[in-house]
Amino acid sequence: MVFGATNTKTTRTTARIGGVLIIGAGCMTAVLTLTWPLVLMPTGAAIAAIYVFYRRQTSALLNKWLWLGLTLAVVLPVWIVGPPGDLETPRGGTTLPALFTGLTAAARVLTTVSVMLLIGGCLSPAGVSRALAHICGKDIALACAIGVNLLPAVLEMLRRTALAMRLRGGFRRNRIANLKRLLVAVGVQTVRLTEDVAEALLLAEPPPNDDPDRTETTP
Amino acid sequence: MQARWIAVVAVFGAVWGATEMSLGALLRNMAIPMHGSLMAGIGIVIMLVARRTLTTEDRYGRGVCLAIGVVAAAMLPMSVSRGIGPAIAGILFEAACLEIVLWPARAGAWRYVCSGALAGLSPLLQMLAMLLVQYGAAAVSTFRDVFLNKQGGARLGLAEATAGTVLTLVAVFSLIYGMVCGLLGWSLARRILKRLGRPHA
Repeated sequence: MVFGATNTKTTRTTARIGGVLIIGAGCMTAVLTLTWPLVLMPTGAAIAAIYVFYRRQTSALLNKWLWLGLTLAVVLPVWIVGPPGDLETPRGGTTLPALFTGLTAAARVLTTVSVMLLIGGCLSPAGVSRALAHICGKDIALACAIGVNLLPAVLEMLRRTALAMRLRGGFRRNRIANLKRLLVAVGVQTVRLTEDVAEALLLAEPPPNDDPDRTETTP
Repeated sequence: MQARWIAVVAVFGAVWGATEMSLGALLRNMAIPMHGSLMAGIGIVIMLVARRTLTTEDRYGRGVCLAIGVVAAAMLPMSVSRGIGPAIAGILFEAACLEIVLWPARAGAWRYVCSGALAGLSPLLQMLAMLLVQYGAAAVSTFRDVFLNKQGGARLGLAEATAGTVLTLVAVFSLIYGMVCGLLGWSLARRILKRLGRPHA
């Protein structure tokens, strides 16, 4: 009974993640290809999706810095850049094409932020790993969850290696040799990180139940 | 539990995922010509290094490339860039190409080079497949137009070239690029193992 309930929950999580990803990808593709006023459709769809899937994040759309950015996205093409493709018209004048360009840019920014909030709000590492375990198997799901959590460590490792290279003179001289050294250093650190993760996994593994007197307790 | 197998898949998958989310997203958003091939080369090197480091120690090398591709593809939706769907399909296809060649037996340098060549061709094959779905019989001529006008091929002096010539040139370039990446993966893994003081064939 409990197993059935967990399975249903996993299926629901998988469906939810799939739905969010499809909506996000669809909104981003549409907003980058459509122009004014059709561009408002994916924007509205992204905001509606946030309201439906992750209502708490809706308040993030009222952030004053976001609206300052959106205002700048509208104002800059109108007052500074001018109408698109027309370099003859003097700046500072309000023209309808320039206004539409600005509104399209603002809609694109708003959609991008909405999709980021939607994906960030709905896709927790635990949810993703549950869905992957459902689809591909537990080993790969575990690897995915570990990989997502390792991203900051990997980025820090790349940053430190690049800094070390820069302190040794960077790529100004012997570029090929220095690139080889950089790649080998990154590879060595990655393999060492692999060993640390493997050790941690072995420590986390439960010991084999070799005690014959010990009995399993069933709920 | 194959702890080391999982660790290698997780770490190398995270490295490739991080590269796709940062450099790959930047290249996709800027619509840099042949960005698919460039990222495929990076992926080939990462997967082959992972495969070789694991093969020499644990004999659990099989399936590593495909699993690393799955991990990297699973991270891609977190990147905000356009064209994530084709990129995910490309990563999985490339990983499958490497795995197909490396699966049968213990892999030597020549097999790494062959797998790199096949995986290097994968962005071209994927693009042709997508064009075939969209345009049917006109896929090759559309590929010529896309390559010349959108990917800067006209600037390389190929403006008058026929569709067949363009396709052959791109295929040969992808093949050679993939082979070089395969060889780079093999030699890089050898250097890494040497630095770590491990046995390397």
